[in-house]
Amino acid sequence: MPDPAAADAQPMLHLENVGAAYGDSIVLWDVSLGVGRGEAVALLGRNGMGKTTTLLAIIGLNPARHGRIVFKGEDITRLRPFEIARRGIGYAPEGRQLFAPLTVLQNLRIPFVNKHEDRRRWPAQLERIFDLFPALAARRSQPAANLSGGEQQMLAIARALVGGDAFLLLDEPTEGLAPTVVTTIVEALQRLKGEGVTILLVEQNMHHAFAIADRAYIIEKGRISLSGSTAELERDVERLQRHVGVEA
Amino acid sequence: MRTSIVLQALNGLTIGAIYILLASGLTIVFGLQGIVNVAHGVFYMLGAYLAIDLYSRLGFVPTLIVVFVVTALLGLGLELTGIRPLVRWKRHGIQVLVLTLGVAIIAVEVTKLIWGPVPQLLEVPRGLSGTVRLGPIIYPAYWLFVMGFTAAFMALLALAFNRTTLGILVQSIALNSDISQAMGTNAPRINSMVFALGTGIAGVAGVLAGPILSVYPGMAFDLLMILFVVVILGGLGSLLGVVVAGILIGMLNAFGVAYLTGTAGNIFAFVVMIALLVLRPLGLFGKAGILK
Repeated sequence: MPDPAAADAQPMLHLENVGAAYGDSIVLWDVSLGVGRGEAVALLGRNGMGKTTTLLAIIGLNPARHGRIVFKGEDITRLRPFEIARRGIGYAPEGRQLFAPLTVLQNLRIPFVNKHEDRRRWPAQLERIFDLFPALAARRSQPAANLSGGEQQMLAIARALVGGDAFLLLDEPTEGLAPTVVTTIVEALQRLKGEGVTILLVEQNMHHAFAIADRAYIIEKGRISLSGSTAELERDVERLQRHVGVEA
Repeated sequence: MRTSIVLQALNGLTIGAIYILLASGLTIVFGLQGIVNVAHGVFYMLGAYLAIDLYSRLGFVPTLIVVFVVTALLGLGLELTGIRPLVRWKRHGIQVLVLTLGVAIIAVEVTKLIWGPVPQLLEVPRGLSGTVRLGPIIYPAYWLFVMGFTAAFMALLALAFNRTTLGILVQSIALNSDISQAMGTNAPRINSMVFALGTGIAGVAGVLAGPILSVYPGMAFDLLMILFVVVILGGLGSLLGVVVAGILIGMLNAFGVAYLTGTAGNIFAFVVMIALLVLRPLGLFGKAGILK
């Protein structure tokens, strides 16, 4: 397991006093966090506390009003979303947000052509995706709208992976899924982590998050209220629930 | 009587073909960026006027190509300098409408200064100036060419949107621009390219329409309302809708003019649009943001 202290010292992604808002409504206040290379970090909190807003600020869809976001040593705070994505950040948004009428292959092709100059890597990328999620292989020519909820979530993660095989932002990847599908998703994410993929994971379900993450940050009313290794946090579930009330 | 009906149907298809070419640019831009470009007719007008100057020097096909490139570049200029800043500031409603209206009015006045206000008729291209016998009907070859050109062009456009990588990227922007950009799509650049494609098509429509309809400065606005009918009737953002609605409105126009009065076509077109919108608010093939 990566050393959390080392991760904080030289993070792959670093947020420094980031604030974000929707119009006049301020949602994030001075959020600072770091994700080290090869780490899986969870951002936990109740609904409306700023988890998704944090990811939107990172990917540039709701840019930070203040503070800095640094990815691989480069300040990406003011970059446009497609520029941030092309730096190697893969994003699986809340609610999957697939391109429903497009096929599985077309959904995967979009981040691939945008982010990979060497088009000859396409077959290898597909092989990796279908190895991770065999269910998608048989559905490759189906429109995304025709997939089951679990398959759609697999495709959302796969689409993020095609575009950012080194760093994934995942927004509630287990939300609304059947327990067997959740197991498949959690195992896939554990496998990716084992392959060295860095993950920043937003979750409401503490159990699912802790099955994947090395460390966690708790966000309350737009501020980081608690952080630590998942092992430390798990030892103090009462405190965790007092802070967050997240599903255990 | 039957011959007359077939003749009017062919006329309807020819006029419909012009509507389809023009409306396809409008609907693509709307489907992609959600903006209404009131200056669209200007590129149609410029295409026709440029053809008057270029045709005798270059010939028909080179004129089509040059007009496409020039009107596409002018459209690109409008998108980059006028529309994109407004879209960036999330002002793509009334502000874009007023901006493009202003551009259209200026362009029409400048056209009057350069080419004069008197209507002109563009020469029919050599080789297409004859007639073709279709059973009992003798029909202008050029009008058939316009129909064939439009059919081939729309088929190519549909193929490009549905089968090419760029087409898939365009569709992804139309479906969800934010998420497409989060997947690395340079949406502003693709939006500019598609806007330029739309104005280029309008220029080509102007060249094609020149020998059929007269060329005059007011043409920039005269067809605009009927184009909105075609786009709305077909369903905003739907290429298939534009084809079906373009043919329908072209037919209404041809039969209205032939059997009733010169304005009957327009009256029918708007009545059909209003009735259909009451029954199907999204138009014939309208879906939320998809180019098909």
